[in-house]
Amino acid sequence: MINRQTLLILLLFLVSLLAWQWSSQHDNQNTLLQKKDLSLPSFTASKLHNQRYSADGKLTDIFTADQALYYQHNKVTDAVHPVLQTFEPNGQKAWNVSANSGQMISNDRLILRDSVLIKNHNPALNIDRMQTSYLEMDMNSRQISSDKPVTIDSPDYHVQGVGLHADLNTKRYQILDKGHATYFKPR
Amino acid sequence: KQSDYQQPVVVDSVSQEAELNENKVTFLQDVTITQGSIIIHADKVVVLRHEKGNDEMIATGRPATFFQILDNGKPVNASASELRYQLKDRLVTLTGKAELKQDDNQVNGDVIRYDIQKQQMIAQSSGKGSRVKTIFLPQEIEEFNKAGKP
Repeated sequence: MINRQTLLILLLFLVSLLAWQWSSQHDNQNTLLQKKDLSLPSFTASKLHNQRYSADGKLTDIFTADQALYYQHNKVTDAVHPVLQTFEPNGQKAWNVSANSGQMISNDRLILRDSVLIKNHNPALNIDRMQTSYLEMDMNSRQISSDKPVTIDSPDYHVQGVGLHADLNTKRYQILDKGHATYFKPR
Repeated sequence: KQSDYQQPVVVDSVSQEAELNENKVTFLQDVTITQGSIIIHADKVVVLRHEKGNDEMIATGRPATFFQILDNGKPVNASASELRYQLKDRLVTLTGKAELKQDDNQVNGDVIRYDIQKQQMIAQSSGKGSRVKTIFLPQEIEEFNKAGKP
């Protein structure tokens, strides 16, 4: 015969089992919800237009994108057709950097993918454009780098190679490997 | 050859650095320049683009070498520590252990200026005890004598 005390203990055990199951299910849902939160952008913008200025009020660059998805938790903005237009201190357009897709990280680092194109707007420089499939850019120092094949074109030469370091401020670039330059018709 | 100068100049190297503000490109490691039949090998080549269009290629090596086939089909070989090729003027200046061979004739000096177009060459020594040495082969001497007779 089960006496009353054992019955009570059994009942208590059953209730705590049910409570434990309910709370772990609840936690799972929470973590699922959180995960779901993180994968959702904090906000999305279409036709993003973001201008940055130097300390003395000069326009340094304009960042635009057809669409931008911003994730608060890691400060990353995924961008569709991102374009970065940079300006010389004298206000003249300098470089136009674009791609099919990209990410801006913490508002000063840019990763660009797929048909990356860097167009020169400074007529004094003997270079038209640089093209690659992947690029990383520090928007403050305007240093760019890629480990992918790259081509560089100007009115009188064509360069191809693998790997690029460039400093858009000092207007210097380095091809890291397999450099092949063709000077069309020497003047 | 005359047709060389209408050809594009192709530069192959492991790496290259461009300074756009200075119109200067430096090619590094195992550099080869070709323009028609002209072939230059060097460890390093600096290309300077000048306003008036007289672009220059300065090749340095141990040694840097120059090769070209002339219109008469005969080769010219040259080598030096530094080889300066002025494209528009078609001038090659060889500096440092300069040596130029054409038709088995050979000239050595500290500096050799070679006008590719006119096929003329001026060899200099640095004056510190070294001298210019030119070696003519018998066949060349005969022709030289024949040309001298009235």
